[in-house]
Amino acid sequence: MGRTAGKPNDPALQRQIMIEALDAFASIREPGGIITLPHRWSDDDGWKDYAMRPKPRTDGGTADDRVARFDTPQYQSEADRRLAEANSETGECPGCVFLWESEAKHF
Amino acid sequence: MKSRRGNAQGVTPASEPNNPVDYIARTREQYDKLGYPPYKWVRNEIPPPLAPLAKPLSEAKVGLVASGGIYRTGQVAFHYRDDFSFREIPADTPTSELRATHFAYDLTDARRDPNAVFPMETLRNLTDEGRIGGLGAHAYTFMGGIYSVRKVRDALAPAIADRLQSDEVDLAILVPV
Repeated sequence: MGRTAGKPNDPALQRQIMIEALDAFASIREPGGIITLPHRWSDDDGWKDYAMRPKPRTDGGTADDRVARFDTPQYQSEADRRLAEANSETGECPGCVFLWESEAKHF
Repeated sequence: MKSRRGNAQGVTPASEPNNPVDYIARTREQYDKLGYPPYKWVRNEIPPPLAPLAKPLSEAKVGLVASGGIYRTGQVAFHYRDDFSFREIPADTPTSELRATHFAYDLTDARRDPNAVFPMETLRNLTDEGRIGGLGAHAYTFMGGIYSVRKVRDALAPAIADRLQSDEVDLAILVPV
């Protein structure tokens, strides 16, 4: 969805949502409890018609317009890539935790 | 929780604008239209135990976990093929050093303002206000588009839970995308 903690550059809304989340630790009494907040995603509900729907193609079929599942690191910018690769050369990836298959126990 | 169903297209008419989109119906429809077999939902039959908060929020140490593919500049970014690694983000990381990468949500808001999916600065401000007692030393982030249930259930989730316990947080907020 992309703005689950509040609209970008709207610190008042972001603060309100965090307060509501924190208060829920006291008010929710059952596992799986859900509180619906009064905030609106956007003023216009038109986006609901397009959410999770494949785009129609001109030939009448349906386009698979999902992002490809690349298996190499997908950086936000080239500067990030260069910095991460420079760190990798000295053997560092500060704060990166890579888990091994063997840690995923088999039943 | 009560669930409210929309019409056959999965959205209710404009007269009920607050009804949520029926993502389960939409997902089934999308997979079907793309010619894939039906999506297999995870079923968790046993509810998780609920641990009541033992102290007021103003004394509580808060942990933050987020699945939106947030990393700090300098760290290796996530890839998109079942990447079940995670990142430690120090609690004092400037927002300007945060990045987002993920294949399954629109990154526009997160890249404009990371607090939209990773409210660390928001929580720092709440600590300064005295609303919460403090923050865990690190937040933990991952790229939640992982199709292997086993990797999440048996490796990633327990690893993050261990970290939160070592950090001695009293509660943790998980922000999905």
